[in-house]
Amino acid sequence: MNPGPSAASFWSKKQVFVTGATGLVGGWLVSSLVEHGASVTALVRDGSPRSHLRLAHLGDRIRTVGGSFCDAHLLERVLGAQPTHTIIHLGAQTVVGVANSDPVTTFEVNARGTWNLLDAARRHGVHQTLIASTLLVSATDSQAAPGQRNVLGEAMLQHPYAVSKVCMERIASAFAHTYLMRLGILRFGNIYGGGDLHFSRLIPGAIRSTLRGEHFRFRTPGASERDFLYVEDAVSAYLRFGELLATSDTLCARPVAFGLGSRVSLLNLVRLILKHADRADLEPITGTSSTPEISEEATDIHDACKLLGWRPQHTLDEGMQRTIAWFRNYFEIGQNGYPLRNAPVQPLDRN
Amino acid sequence: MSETNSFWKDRSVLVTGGTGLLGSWLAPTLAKRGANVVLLVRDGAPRSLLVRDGWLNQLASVHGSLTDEGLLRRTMAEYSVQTVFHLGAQTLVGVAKADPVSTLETNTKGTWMLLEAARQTGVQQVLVASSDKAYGESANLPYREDHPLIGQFPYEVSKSCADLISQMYARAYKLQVGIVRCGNLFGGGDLNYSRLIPGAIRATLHGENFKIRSDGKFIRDFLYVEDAVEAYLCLAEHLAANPAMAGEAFNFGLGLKLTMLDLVDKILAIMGRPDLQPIVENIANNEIREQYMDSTKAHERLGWSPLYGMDEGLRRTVAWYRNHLQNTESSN
Repeated sequence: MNPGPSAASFWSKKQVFVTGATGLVGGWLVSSLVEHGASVTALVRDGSPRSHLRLAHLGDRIRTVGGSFCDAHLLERVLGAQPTHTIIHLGAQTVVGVANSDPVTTFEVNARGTWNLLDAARRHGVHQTLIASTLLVSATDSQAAPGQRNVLGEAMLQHPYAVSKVCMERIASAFAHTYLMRLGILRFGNIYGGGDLHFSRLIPGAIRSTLRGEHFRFRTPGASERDFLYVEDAVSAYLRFGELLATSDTLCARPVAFGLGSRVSLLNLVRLILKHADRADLEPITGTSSTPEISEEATDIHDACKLLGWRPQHTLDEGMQRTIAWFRNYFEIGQNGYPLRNAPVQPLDRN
Repeated sequence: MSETNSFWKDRSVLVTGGTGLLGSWLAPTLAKRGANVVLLVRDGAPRSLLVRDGWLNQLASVHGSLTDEGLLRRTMAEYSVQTVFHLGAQTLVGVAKADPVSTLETNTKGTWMLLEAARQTGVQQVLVASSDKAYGESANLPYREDHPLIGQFPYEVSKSCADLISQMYARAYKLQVGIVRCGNLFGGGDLNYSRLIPGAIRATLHGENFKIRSDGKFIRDFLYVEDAVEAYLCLAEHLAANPAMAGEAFNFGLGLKLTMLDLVDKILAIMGRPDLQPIVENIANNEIREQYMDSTKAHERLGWSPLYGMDEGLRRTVAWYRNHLQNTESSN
């Protein structure tokens, strides 16, 4: 949804500290906060040229701090330096494969990073904190009836990434509950949009091959169904959540799920990309890999609608059109496609 | 079973938290059964039972913290550790609330560091001390092992997370992990007199009425420390015989549903001082009211049942404090 005038006035002049600012959601969220007049401090860990560029279009309209939220001294310095109204904690180790090969780093970032951040927020009187969680955690919520095993929860337990996020939510809830902190927990599934340069992921990968005139190859039949949310709808969820959490107790530490609320098969998703890129001739090549494909339920966004008045404002068609336009810009013109407004466009390669 | 088999003979065993209540009983038991015990000791604990009884000097010990990755790996490798009993934790609820970060560092990070070191050095099995506190508050009692782990306070959640991470290491990395969820342990050697049982016994030995800070109606599950020792050994032995059990958690409790007042009555009866009725102060009632476990799984799958139980456990505990307080107070 368009955050509208209330969001603009709510965020105006608010001091906001964003971790994970160089990620997919972070790039769009920081842009949007700046547009709404917020004073943003963005935490940037690795100085990769791409992530630098994604913030560069904002120039001196944001303040960036280099480092990690696992560094308690750094958090002390940032949160001690100026009163912070809202922390939006997007930073995480989100790659499932990395979590499998390096569980300790994943727990350091996702679990320990969260307790460091919340402890600093607690001691420095930050008004509220929003944390990015995942719908995977929902599977461990349900109270197993006596005599029944919590089957979904059991399946999650073999994945370090999922367990790290469960721990993150548990830790965050304990801080909120014990120290009466204002805490928002936003659970998302798959988010897509311009700026996601992980080409091993389905949507960026399929868009890139389509724009190159190549057939996209699936290893599987592509039949599993997923819920995909467009990134600007995720941004509006954060803005809306922060606006309401500031004065509402009912949202505090109550996880809310966000998604499109409908599913599409991976094969049809790629066909949608082909359609909007005018390359319907590039029918994807499917594979027969017997790796079990897991279909997801459509996200239940009832709470998001009821508690926040939030709805996705972009259909899959609209979101994909915008995403393809962003990547076309990125590949063909060499510029990123964030809303630029008054800021000058930085060239892709500054050398 | 443990007394007669040779499972522990010459087995290299690392015990973290060795100077705590449980460690002080577990380490000597392991040594008596032939294990080569090495203790991870962080702070000097001159009052620990392990020190008083002279065991600390007879067992190998390494000095340092659970969050010292290099130390854990070195210890496991150098001592060719086969079994780890991971008992080390920050266990005081009040400390956890005052300083959540250090509690999470020790209890949660300490657990993943230990499991990772075990994975990297090829330790055969790790027994992790979780807790009934890991379950969090629930209307669905008694807790069964499949109850979700949803602690709401820093200490509880540090245990919920450690428990989940332990389950994950078993499933994702095929580490032979056994998870032990005991109720509140009691027994000789626990010198934390702010706890109910040590506090009530000491007050009674002094001829004083014990003061209960709550309304006395809280229910907790208790287990005598020697019964807990057998629970850990029993699970380790079963885990070795049946590795498919890896990653499973087991409740070990008495499930008696005694209120604190009931328990103090029992102590007074055992000590022959029913006249010293407790004083109910009714000023601290903000903790979880009822926690107790269903230990059917341990009975059925492990054949475990408490050898001492509540009454005999209390008798042994009272005897220990009687002796201990006589010695310490007469020497002053």
